[in-house]
Amino acid sequence: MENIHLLTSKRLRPLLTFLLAVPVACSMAGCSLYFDHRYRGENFVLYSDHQPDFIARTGTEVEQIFSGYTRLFKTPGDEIGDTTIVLQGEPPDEAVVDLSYSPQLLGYYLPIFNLISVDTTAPWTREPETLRQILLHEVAHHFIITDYPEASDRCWLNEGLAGNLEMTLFDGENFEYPLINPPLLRIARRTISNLQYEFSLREFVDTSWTEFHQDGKKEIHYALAWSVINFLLIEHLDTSLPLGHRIKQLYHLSSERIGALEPEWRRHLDAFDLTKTLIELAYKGSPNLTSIWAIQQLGSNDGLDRPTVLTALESGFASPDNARRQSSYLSFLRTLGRSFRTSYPSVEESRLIQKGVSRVQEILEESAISDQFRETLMTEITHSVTDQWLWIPTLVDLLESTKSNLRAMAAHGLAQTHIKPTVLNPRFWRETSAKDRSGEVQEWKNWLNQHRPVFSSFTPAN
Amino acid sequence: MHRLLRLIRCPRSFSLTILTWVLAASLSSCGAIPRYEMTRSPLHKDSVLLTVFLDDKAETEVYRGIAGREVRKLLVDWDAHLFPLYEVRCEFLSKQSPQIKFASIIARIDTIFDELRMGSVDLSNVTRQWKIYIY
Repeated sequence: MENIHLLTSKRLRPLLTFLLAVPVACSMAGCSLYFDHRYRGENFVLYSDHQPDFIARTGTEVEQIFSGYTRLFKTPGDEIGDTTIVLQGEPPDEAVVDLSYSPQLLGYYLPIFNLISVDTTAPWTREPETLRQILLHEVAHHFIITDYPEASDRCWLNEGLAGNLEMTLFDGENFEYPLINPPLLRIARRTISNLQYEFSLREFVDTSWTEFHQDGKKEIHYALAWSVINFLLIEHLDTSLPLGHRIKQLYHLSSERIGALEPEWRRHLDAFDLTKTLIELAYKGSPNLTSIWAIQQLGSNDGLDRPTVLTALESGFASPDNARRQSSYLSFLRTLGRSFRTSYPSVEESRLIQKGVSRVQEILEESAISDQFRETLMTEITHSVTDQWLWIPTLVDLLESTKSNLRAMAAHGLAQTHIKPTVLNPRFWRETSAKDRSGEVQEWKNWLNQHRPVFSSFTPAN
Repeated sequence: MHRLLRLIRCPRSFSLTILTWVLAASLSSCGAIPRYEMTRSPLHKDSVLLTVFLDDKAETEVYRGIAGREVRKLLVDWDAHLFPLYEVRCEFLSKQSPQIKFASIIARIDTIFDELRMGSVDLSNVTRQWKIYIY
């Protein structure tokens, strides 16, 4: 995820331009010859060997990203240009998942050729959320450099701003900018709290491309750049101004002025309470894309204050907004899975967990709740391998559900526990008669009765 | 053939042996399934775990070849009175490095039989889904 700045470095520019111009120009001219599929957008052409439906889906998203950034940066139409976007990687064999390949560089942007390349060889890079984040980052570089060409020489600003904008949420024309990047926040805080890490903000903002991308420090520099830009955008500059205005103000802040803000930035970073910020975004104000994103973040980040998160999510169970309510249940289940993995829950957490689990159990057995949502909850429960023992009584009950999918999912969840051999085939649970299934169900009931005393001693409430 | 044997100028029986070896070696290298050790253990009433130990990582086709062969054997051996076989998980472990005490997983193939078949198995009419994970 970087902008290849060497190409615009003044001393190396002529030589590197010449060396790269020939092969890149040739390959760009013949992209349609090399790649099987292409998607033509208003301001870009997307090339790839992947399946046409994947290209069409990605192309539509890139179209929306261009449209959103054009409004954010107020870029005149004739300056946007025509970007070439290449999604590298062979078309996947659907039956083979190659987890051995991990790209060193997820994507890059070559301003001089207006070319974005994304490595989509690894299956996880083609996951919609990951690919969207990479594209938001790389297309942000294109708009930043089009808006402010000097950003090529200010690596921290270019990468820091792209690190903030990669968190953009959108649905059609609706764009929201939470700017919070939890993984980068974690790295930045860890780095700054390490007393042995020598750091000067004044020197950092003058770092060259090579220094910024130095092996072993690249990840830290990306995180620090994100945190400095985030501090400037949400704390230092006037937040009553639209984000686009504040971005333009960033361009004119001198290195000396930013350097002088180091104590204030350090205090801000040190005091940043991610748990509180996410809870506010999640449940205050009208529901929007950011509130749902924040609820999901509460369920997917380590290092948050768990009792506070569980309390907030359980209050979300009663939200009048359907999306907020359902996201709260799912995040509760995710928090639960992670809680048991990282450390044993405290007494207070155990009480909250038991309360939440009881509510989820009621939902699963409540026929008024939509089948689709109950199945989504079951998927979450059966994916978690750390807290399955909590759900065994519920899963055994659900083996007799009138809903065939719930029966099959319950059996799958029980099978994951490996506490007793069972029948795995979902068609057995979906399609055979109650009489055919009764033997298996009875075995589980017997097992539960035999183990109930031992089992109940493990419940978090005790 | 007679001319070929004369060309290599050695007794006919000896030449035939050599030719057979060469032919067998070249044919076997086409499929190239290496020697392997394997254990078989039940996972559930209708699923089985096969653990295959290999010296080193191999091509996807090799994993597929081994899993295919072992799944066919398993289908033949499967007790028709039990629940129909639903899933075979075949894990490939590498025992290459003597420094590593535990063999590490290098690939996994999950084979799912979609049909809910009871009774005897007609191997020619079994549909299956494969998923191969390379680590």
